[in-house]
This record gives sequence, C-alpha cells and structure tokens, in this order.
Amino acid sequence: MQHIAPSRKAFLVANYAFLCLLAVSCVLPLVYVLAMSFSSSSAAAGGLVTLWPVGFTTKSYEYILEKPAFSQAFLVTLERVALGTAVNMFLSILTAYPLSKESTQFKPRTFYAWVFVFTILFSGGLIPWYVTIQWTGINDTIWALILPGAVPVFNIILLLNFFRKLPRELEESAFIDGAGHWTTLIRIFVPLSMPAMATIMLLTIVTHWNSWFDGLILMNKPEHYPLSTYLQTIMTQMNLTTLTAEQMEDLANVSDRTAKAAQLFLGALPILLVYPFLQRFFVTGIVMGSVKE
Amino acid sequence: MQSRITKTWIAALTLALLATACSGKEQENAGEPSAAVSPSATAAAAGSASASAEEAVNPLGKYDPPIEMSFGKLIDQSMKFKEGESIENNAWTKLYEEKLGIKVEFDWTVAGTEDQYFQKLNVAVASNNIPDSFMVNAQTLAKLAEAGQIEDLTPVFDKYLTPTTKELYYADGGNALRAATFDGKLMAIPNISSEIDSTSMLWVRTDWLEKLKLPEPKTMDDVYAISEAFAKQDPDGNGKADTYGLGVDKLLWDGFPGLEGFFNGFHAYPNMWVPDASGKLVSGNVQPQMKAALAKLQEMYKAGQIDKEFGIKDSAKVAESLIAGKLGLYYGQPWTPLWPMQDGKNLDPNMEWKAYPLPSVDAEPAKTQSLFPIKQYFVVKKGFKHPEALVKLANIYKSDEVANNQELYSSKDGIAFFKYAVTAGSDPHQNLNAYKKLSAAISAKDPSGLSPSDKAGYDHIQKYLNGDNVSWGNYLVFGPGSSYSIIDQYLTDKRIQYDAFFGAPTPAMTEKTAALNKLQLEAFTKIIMGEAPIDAFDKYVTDFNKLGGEQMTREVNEWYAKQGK
Repeated sequence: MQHIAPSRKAFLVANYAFLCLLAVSCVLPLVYVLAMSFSSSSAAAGGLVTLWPVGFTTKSYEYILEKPAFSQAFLVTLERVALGTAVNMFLSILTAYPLSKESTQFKPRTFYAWVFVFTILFSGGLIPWYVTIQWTGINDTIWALILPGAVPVFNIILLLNFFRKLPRELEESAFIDGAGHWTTLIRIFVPLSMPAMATIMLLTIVTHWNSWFDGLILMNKPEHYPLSTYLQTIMTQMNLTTLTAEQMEDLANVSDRTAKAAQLFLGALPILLVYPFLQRFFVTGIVMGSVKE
Repeated sequence: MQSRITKTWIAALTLALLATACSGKEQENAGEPSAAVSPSATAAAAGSASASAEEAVNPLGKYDPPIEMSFGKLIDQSMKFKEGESIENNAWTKLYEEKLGIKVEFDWTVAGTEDQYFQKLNVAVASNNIPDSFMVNAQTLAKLAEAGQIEDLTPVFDKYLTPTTKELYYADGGNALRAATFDGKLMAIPNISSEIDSTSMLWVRTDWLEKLKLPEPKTMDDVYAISEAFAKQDPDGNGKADTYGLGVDKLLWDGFPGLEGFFNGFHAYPNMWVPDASGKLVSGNVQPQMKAALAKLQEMYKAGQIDKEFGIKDSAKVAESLIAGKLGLYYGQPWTPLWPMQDGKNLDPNMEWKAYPLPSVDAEPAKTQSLFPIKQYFVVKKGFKHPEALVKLANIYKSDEVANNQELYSSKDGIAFFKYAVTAGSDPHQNLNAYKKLSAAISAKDPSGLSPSDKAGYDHIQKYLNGDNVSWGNYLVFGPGSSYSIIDQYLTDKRIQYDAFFGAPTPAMTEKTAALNKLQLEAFTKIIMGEAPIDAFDKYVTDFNKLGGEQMTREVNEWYAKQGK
C-alpha cells in the first residue's frame, strides 16, 4: 500500500471530479438529443424532455426510414469521406515528404513552403472560389466537394514536422541499403508516422463529415447534398415574421423537433464511432531504440 | 548557387504558366455570360421582342417549336413529391410544356429556407452565372436592375396579361408593380401576397380568464390586469409562480410572439413609415408613442410579468412555455393556432384560446400595422429571347384550368402541388375568403356550396367539431369567431395602418438598415429589461437619425413626392 499525501489526495479528487464534469457536459447534449428523438412531438415542442424520453415512440425513426432524403445524403457523405480522405492523405504524404527535407537536399524547398503557407494566409474569397470551381466543370459532382480542398496545408505542416523528427539515421541507412525516395517514404516514413497519420486522418474525416456550406453552394440538386448540408437545411428555422398564406402549411414542420433530433443523432453517430478505432494508432515512442548513438 | 536560382525560376515560371492557363480558361468561358450583356445581344433580344409583339399577342399562346427556359428554385422544407415525380417532372412541368410550349429546366435547386436560397443565388449573381428566370428579393432586385443583368419587362407585361392576372397585379392600385419599377422600367413581376395575413391580434387563454374571473380584454388596462393576474395568481393552479404575463421573444418583432400589436395599442408603428401631420413620411421607430409603450413594457418586466430571459429566447423557446402551459397572453399573427397552440392543445385538451382585436390605450381604436407584403419578385435574365414567356407562365398560374385541377393548384395527402410552379402570386384575400365561406358553411352546417379545396378544409374542421382535437387549430384560424373574423372586422372598421413606403430599397436602406435594426434591438431590450432608463429612448432617436435614419427619411420623402405625380 503506497502512502499518498493528503494534499495529493485532495488534488486527485478535485481533478477527477473536474474531468468527470467535463465528460458529462460533453455527453449530456447527446443524451438530450437522443431522448428528444424518442419523445412524442408535442412533448418535445413543449420543452418537457430533458434526459429521458417523454411519451416514448419510435415514430421519428420510422419516418426517417421511409424518407429517402436522409439515406441519400448519408450515402453522399460516405462517398465524400472515403474519396476525400484517400485523396487528402495521398496528397498530404506526397507533399510533406519533400518539404520535410533540408534546403541543402531540396533547394527550392523554402519557395514551395511559402507557396503553401501563402494559401493559408490569403484567401481568394467566396466568388473567385465559386467561379474557379465553375470553370473546371466539376460543379454538382462529388469532386466539387473533394478537389477544392484536396491539399490540406495545415495537415501537411503537421505531417512534415513529424517527418522531420524521425531519426535521420533511419533514412540514411535505407539509402545505403539502396532504397530510393519512394521506397524510403513508403517503407520507412509512412509506417513510422502512424500517430501523425491517424491525427490528420481524423481531422480530414471530421472536416469532410461536417462541411455543409460547399454542399449548398456547389451542388445543384438537393439529392446531391451531403449529410451536413441536408441537416442544415432541415434545422434552419424559417422566418416567421413574413409568413404567406401558402407557408401556413409549413407550420406543421416547425414542431417537428423529434424527427430533426433523430436525424441529428444518426448523423453524429458514425463520426463518434471513428474515434475509438483510430485511438490505437495514437501511440508514442514508436521509434524508441531504433537508433543507437 | 547558380542552379538554385535557376530552379527557383523554373518553379516560379511553372506557377506563372499555371496561372495563365487558368486565366486563359477564364476568358474562354467568361465569353459566354458576358455575351449576354453585350450590346449586340441586347439589340437582338429587343429586336425579337418587338418582332413577336407584331405577331398576334396571345397571353396563353403556345411556342412552336417549344422553347427552353432555365430556372433556379427553392424547394422548401415542406415540399413533397408523389412517387416517381420530382421538381423536373410533375404535373406543372407537363402543363408548361403541353400548353405553353415551354420546357422548364432547372439550372439548380436549393433545399431549405429562403436564406439558403439567397446564399446560393447571391453567389450565382456575383459570378454572373444566372438562370433564365428566378425569384429574387427586393435587395437583389435593385442590385440586378442597376447592374443591367435582367430584362426590362415593360414592353411585354401589360400586352400579355390575361384579364384574370391583370386583376391580380392591379388589385392594389399598382403599388406592387411600382415597387418593381426602376427608372420607369418594370424589371420584375412581383409575387403578390397578402397585406392582411401578417396583421397582429391579441391572443388570450380563455380557460385561465374564466378561472380567474377576469373580463375579456377591451382596453389596454384590461391587458395589464390580465398580464398581472396570469403572472401572479397561479392560473395553472400548480401552486408555483411559474407562469408569465405577456409573451415576448428576443427579436421583439415576430409572428409569434410579436410586440407590434402592443405598440399599435399605443398608436406606435415600429419598422414602418407613416405620414405625419405635415404630410411628410416619418419613421414609426422614433415617434413619441414608442416611448410610452416601452415605458409600460419596462414596468411589466420589473413586475415579473415578462420572462426574465426573453432576451435570449427565440420564437421556438417561447413556444415551449406556451405548449407547457406557462404562457397565456401574447400578441401574434393569425396563424399562431396552427403552431404552437395546436401542440399545447395536444398535451392539454383543456387549453382554450381566443383572439381579440387590438385594445387601445385611449378612446381612439388601435390600428394594426401592415408591412408592405411583396417580398419576392420574378425576373428574366438579360438577353433571354422570350421575356414574355414569364408573363405567360404567370398567366397560366392563375388560369381556370389550373384553378379547377386539384393536382395543380391545391394540396392532397400533405403534398402542396402549387409549390412546384415556377411563378407564384395569390389573391391577397384568399385566406379571408376561405374563412368567410368556411365559417358560413360551418354555422349553417351545409358544405354544398363549397369548392373542392374549401370542402377539404370544411371536412378537416368537422373533425374538431366531432370531438377530435387534431383540427382545433384550423378551427381557430378559419372557423366562426376565428382569427380571420378579427381581420374581417379590421377591414370593415378600417383599422389597418399600411406602410406608407413601398418603393425599392433606397441606398441608405440597403446600407444602413442592418445597423439600425441592431441599434434598435439593443436599445429597446435594455429599456425593457430596466438596464437603461426610459429616457435612453431619446438617445436612441438621436443615434437613429445620426446613423442613417435622417438620410433614409430624406430618400423616402423624395420617393413619396414622386408618387403624388
């Protein structure tokens, strides 16, 4: 039995209590949305639902199953995440590798680095962005959601810094054994950078999952909307100050909170599940003991 | 060293080449939209327009061979389609093609709300990549007209109107058309909507009134008494002080709950232009009557009759209080029984509500304010060869053929078919007339004289009269003694104050309105919450004038002077 000083004990108790509260505050909104999705529509509109469904019903979920829009948008998002992550990862690795070299090895390195940094510092603005994508003719296709953000500069900087921290000796020994740049990249750098890869992969997946504005502006048909855009279009409250005779019929939707909650929950679930699966790659000390100095 | 410089140069050159490659593409592609505004194209369009005018003008004539016309369209949150149908393929698109020879195509459609539609539209407008015809709001219309991106409809509009549509567009004496006229040219077809559907009335929970033995509200003093009793005398009988007097939300002005009606009771007319004694137009926001109303609200807030947290509660949040039975008094628009009251009734069948005409603070009856109702316009892209096609589309929307076909004009099984149409515009008194017919039929228990769509409404309301609360809300909107009976009364007694300004937004409005609205919201919220004394209103008036109100007033009066002629 190890002795723990009272002050240490107090710290531990306070610390755990704080962390528990933090965790609870993250989980509660999700529980609320879940409870809402299983509640009766009037109870939800009356604000009577807190953490447990009121007037339990699975109607919202039946409604979603019947409605093609949700599953359609879900498929678009899956496609976007799969393609987008593949393209992003491929280009990030390819760009980070040369940029991680010293200027003595790769002379125009500084120039290229600035070209990339420039795009972080200055943005063309919405209209040029839109017009450029329009010219390429990829509007209203899945590529409009992927190619404009194909080179995530922030991720590249993360990755190149990770590459730079890897022991130089490993690279040199690979070259001595006759490996070229490609082999070194694929067989030494990539396997050793799993933690960094997992990080940027997570960032990429989350970004693609959550982006909604590009879907709204670049897609010309609601059937092509990714999930976040679709959710955005159903969550925005309509303007009640100027309601026309025809819009009165829309009022039934205003209190459709339970269906909205159900769709929100189903939309958030997959992305929550990604975290535990990527967690096993977040290991440190992967290169420990590989080099003796 | 030498090689390093060379390599840098090669890199720079590569980039430069890439850039030129891109801009080359730009010129090549930009040729298309810019051609649309080039003088030759315009001349050609004008030529063809006059050529077609020389042919026999047929307002519902069919194009042979058929023409193609592209649109941008909002698919709003409630739009549904029958199995196998879509926005590109439905009874309306078939009608357009068969009767008018117009193949309607959609460059893009946006799902969601108007805000999202305008986000997409603004990008399209800024990049000059617009469809042949689309819906715009007043701000975008002014911008498009100024930039010459849309076609002048003056030569074709009157010529192609059918008698029915003529009646619709000139019913208000031409004000709607004047709002779409720039430098004497009609640049758009307004979406005619109702000026009475968004008037406000006082809604009271009558089961609480009875319980607390209070009289029906006739004067503002009655309103204060009810508000105080609802807040303090525990109308829900649960022994807790958890009910509110007057419902207010963070926007102050809203359909549910809105303070317009409260201010109107003081003869104050926020957010609109009213003629003063000298015949000039002044902003209702800065009139002394506003101050009196604000002082009263401050008092009510202090007495705990208004939700302490109203400043952060939106409409849906206030609706929660109503549905949960915590709120029994508010000013709102005629449709509020459909939402949120209906949800409250579902939870508590004992809940009863009734609408009352606005009570007044003095002997002079209160007038309800009515803002200029035209918020949407339909335009034709500059250079489109058949601008009259839009007029034809508007004609067929109001044709008998459409009116008699439920699959076109009405709704069935929760599908509103009329929303598929690419134009819109309805008789401003459509709902009022529906009320008149329905309530007469209900009182007489005789639906025989009703049209098919009114009969559907009648049958729905019968459900409530037979004991099913599902159509209780509809009864409160269209039945005897409903919200439209109040509007009917407003019209008979001439108790509606119309916005005196209905022109296109003036330069100061486009630039300053957002800032002035923010100023007003902050100043008024602070005054109501007692964070600022009531005299802060005077400072608000000064700031309002300084930050653009004065300029706006000048511009509005310049416009007003022109209207007399």
